[in-house]
Amino acid sequence: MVKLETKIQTWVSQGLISEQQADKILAHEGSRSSSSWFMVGLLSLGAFTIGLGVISLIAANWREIPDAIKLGADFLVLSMIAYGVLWAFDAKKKAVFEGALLLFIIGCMATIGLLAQIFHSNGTIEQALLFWSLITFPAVLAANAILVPMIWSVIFASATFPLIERSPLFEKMFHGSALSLLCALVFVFAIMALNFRRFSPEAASTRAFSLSSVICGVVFVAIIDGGTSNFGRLKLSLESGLVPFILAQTFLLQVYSGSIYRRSQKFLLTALTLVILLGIGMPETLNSMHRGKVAYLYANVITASLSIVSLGLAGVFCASIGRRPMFQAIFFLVGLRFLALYFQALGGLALTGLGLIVSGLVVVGFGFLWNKYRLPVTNWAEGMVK
Amino acid sequence: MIKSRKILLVTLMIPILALLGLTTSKISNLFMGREVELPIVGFDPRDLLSGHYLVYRVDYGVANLCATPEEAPGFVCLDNRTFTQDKPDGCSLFIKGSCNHLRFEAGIERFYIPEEKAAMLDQIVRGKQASIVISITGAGHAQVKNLLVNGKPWEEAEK
Repeated sequence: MVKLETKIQTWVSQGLISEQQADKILAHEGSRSSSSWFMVGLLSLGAFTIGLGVISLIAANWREIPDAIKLGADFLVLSMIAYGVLWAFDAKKKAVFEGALLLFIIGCMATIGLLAQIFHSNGTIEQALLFWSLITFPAVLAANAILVPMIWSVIFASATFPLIERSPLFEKMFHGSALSLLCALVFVFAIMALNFRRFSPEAASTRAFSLSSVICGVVFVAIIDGGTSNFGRLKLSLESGLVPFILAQTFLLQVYSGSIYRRSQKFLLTALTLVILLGIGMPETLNSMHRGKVAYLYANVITASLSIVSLGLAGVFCASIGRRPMFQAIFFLVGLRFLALYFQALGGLALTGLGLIVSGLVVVGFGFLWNKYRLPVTNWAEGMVK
Repeated sequence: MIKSRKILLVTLMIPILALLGLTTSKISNLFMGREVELPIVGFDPRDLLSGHYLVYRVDYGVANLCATPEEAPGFVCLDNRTFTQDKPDGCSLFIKGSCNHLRFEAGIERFYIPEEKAAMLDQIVRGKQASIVISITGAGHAQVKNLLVNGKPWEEAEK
């Protein structure tokens, strides 16, 4: 704010803007400051810490306090937090609203813990988290900042992943491949993001589900990319890819049936989906030809291409929908993967030493170039998809 | 995304009502069911007090309980101490559960204990006769009411 005031004074003194305009800008920025990302972050961190403290207090199991009083107090506090959320909504205090909402959903988790303790429930932590995910989902959609839906997405994924992995369905649907399940999650989050985007493109939940899809996708591609030394371990086969394939088809059908995206963006999403699906069949194919050093190098280049192409497509798509930070982060990962590929192609101590020096210089050079050309490259990517 | 106060109120009420419903169902299971005492065995020292809860196996006194390794639902009839994979006919008191790794699990294999009493209870429970008091509904849902050591509630046994 101080920096902005100095700038505005300079602009006024140079005759670029009038005094009135300067006052209006300062008033506007002043009103924004109370709900700035910093305040949202700070209050959310506070709410998160308080929530964890409450969970910890409950976990200590206060046997001396009668169960009825513990339950009554818990529901009273939960209702008071819910009232706090409503008050912040009415008062338009955005940062307080986000913090209270986060405290509310953590409070729901603490209540589940208390119920498990009082009634000696035998369920697993994943079952508890999945139940929590289901009951808090509508409330999470009220968030204006990405933090609450992002926390929800992480917990939802952490609950569903091991639950499906341990169920008999896992062998039938995913043929024992955890990676295939991860690939399915990429499309589950993508479908969620797409459907929420129809109602509100800028909603925090839409952004959080998109980001979750990207994160799952990056991890999926990175695991295939890093699994070159032992593809058999990944247990990926064409049969295991059936569920991700069906989900990918559902996703593309929804993309083409709606008018959210331009034609070029639809093509980009199709290409990206196909490249990710290609990743499922890749380990089995490469495993059959994975013999000797040349074949190993060949496999490395192919899997690196999968990473670079999928990240590249995802990056350009992000730029085309105006997600600049996401595009820049993905583009940075592409750069890193190029470096790693160069490193993988080398062999022997002397060459490795030389490789390290060259790689270090390339990293420094890449940093300078990225800093200098970040905006032109972003503009280029945004303009590419019209 | 949510612009209406009414919708926000509904979204906040959903988890509160769901949790209240869960509480009511647990309370009704506890008070409407029939009370039964069953011995518990097989304490694993490594898992005994993991996370401040006691993990044990319930001794139903049934031969060939979950003899097949398949994971499937099962029923223990406490009238004649038999195990069936289908709901037992003519059994007035039965527990519904499932076979998992040759073990019958009915959701009563855990008892939460206070943090500061964990080490003491560990010593008390080892080598002594322990049992649990459970409440069983007509549908076969069982819920733990208390832990007994030598026939007394664990709080009295520690004194």
